[in-house]
Amino acid sequence: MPLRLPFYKLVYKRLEIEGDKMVLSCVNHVKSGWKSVFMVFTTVADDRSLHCLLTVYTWKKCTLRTGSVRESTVLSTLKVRDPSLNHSAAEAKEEEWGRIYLYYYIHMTKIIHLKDIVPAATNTVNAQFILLEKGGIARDGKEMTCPALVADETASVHFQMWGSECETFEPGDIIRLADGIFSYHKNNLVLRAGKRGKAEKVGEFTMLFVETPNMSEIRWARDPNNLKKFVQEAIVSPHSRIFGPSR
Amino acid sequence: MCPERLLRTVPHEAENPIEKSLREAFLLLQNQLKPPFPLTIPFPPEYSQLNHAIAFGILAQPHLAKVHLTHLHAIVVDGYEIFTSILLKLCNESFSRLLEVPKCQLLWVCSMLIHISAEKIETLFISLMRQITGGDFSESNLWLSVEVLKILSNNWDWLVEEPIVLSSALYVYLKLLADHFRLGGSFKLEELKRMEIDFCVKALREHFQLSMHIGRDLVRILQDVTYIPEFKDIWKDLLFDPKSFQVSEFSSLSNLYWRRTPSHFFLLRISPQMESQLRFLLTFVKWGSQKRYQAWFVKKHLYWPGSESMISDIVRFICCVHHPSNEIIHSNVISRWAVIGWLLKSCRRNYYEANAKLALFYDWLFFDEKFDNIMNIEPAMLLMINSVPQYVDITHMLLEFLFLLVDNYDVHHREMLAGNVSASINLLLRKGVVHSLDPLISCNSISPALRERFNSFLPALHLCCNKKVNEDETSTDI
Repeated sequence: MPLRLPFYKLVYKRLEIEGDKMVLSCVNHVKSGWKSVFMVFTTVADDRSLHCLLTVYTWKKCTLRTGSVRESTVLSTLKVRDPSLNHSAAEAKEEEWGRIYLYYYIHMTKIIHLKDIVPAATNTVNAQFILLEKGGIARDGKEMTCPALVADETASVHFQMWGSECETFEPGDIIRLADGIFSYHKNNLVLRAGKRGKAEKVGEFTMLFVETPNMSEIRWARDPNNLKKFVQEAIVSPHSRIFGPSR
Repeated sequence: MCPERLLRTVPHEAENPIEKSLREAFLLLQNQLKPPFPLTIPFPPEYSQLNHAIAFGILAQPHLAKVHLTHLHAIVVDGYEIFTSILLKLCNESFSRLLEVPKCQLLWVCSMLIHISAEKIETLFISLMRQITGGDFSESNLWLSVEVLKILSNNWDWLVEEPIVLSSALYVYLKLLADHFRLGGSFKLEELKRMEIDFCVKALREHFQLSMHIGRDLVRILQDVTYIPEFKDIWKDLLFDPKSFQVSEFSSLSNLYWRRTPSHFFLLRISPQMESQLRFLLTFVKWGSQKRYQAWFVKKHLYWPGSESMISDIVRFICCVHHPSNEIIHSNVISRWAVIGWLLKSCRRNYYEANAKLALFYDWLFFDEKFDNIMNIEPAMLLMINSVPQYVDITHMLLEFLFLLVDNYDVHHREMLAGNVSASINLLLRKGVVHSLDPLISCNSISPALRERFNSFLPALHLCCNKKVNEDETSTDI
């Protein structure tokens, strides 16, 4: 979308100028899960490869904010910054590991459209949407919860807000969800940040949306060919039954 | 040492990119920001970064601000252009979220930049003025009003060299006076009103040539303050003693009517955020999807009493500044007339509703095909026609108002105003903006008297055309 591009260019340009320092300052922002993976690589990789990985990782984190992912650019960046071209089998292996790792990373952090989310027990949903309506705030043990209707240009879904999210997010807010989870929670199929995910407000108002289909109002069944996956079985309701279409 | 924040932090909100880049530059170059300053000229990318770092220092460290500013003077090679651009971006995108100290610092450094004629400082002041919200009597908004006015009032020498800033400031403070004057109260408010009156009177009496740049809308906004004694006198002089303003081109109030108001004035009273939301609504949102956006807009910008004073400014913006392309007009995107209809319905008080309707029809009264833009008059006509038959009360209300306006706005020029309204309708028909006025003329829900009156503007079309031809041949002094 045209509205996102300028920020992407700005970030990319900054990396060209300040790559090193930005990389190092961002190491602290590595999520705990990825940190341990990095630990493995630091033991087998030399400084240069780690440098490449960190650079690209940082860039990925930045582009996560903009939502644009260019695999070819990421991989070519790795090639450009990684000077080791000849080399021993060990070095070649490091490079190989690096690329595999990063390719894995790229696929894990792609932003998806709401119409493509599928119930799963993993926190791998990276999406951007606008908040349409909030329900009432209730208590679930010690924490506050609040159901909400959110949507992007492709679909809507019920988003379960938790804790401080309930009071912070307001209708009209554009929210970026990282590492969210779309699953059954107390018999409701909802999208939420969960323990490992993070929802952040990135803007207001300027995003288009549709309210149908609503991904929470679909009956899902297990894929007979792959019992770990779900497929759409039937539409329970085209619009949210909790919030209803806008009057 | 962890530096201060510039913007208010809210949980679950992504870090603001501008603040981030300013702080990172500051952290990077902290050690270079203390004297003695190197005398070498940095290369472009480093120069930009240094500007970012100094900007952060000035905003976040008031006790060191003068040192940072001296540093800036020492290294500047571009007339401060990058520096003001940074402040401009911050102002346009995040002013309302600035914490108290950075906000004060921003105003301080702006006043400093005037003395050194920094590049684009005029644009920065225009941006600051746009941040003063109409109809908002909160402490912080009134504070901003006062502080900007103080800087302007202390720098008349500079103001006279910057006609755009002077005329823009006049436009802004006349409009603000109309909001502020009705409020009684604190000593501070009285002081603000006094300053505003003095400023506007000085601009009008001593620099009328520059004030005239506003054009016909100057008449419109002056009328909202004529109950204030100083402006009553100005109004009397405008009507009966125009020579007292000592401008040769100005011999009668109608001279102002013929000056179309440049569109940048209509941006002055709506904030950049409001502008981008309105533009988004009118560029991307499809018919049928607008309800949620409208509710969010009201919740954000039009929810407190007094906020209605901005509705006439928004109408002026939509009519005169935002002109959608043909592609958008023919697409399924919501039309300007529909958004204006919604805004009119949002008015709860007659005074604001009347002002909004005046804003809608203002260009009709003075329309001249040679200088004026048909896009300015299109929404009013489409709103009237398209409201028949489902929302015929709107058409009724608008027609009534239009005739009231023609008859009473300027009784000495009644015929001319009527002629211009006819010309507007004529042009809209000729260019196919409306194909036929029959739905309006033959609608039984509209009172026969109104329909007949409307009809009377139509046969005048032929007369109107002939009259214009005659006028062109005998050049008048208007």
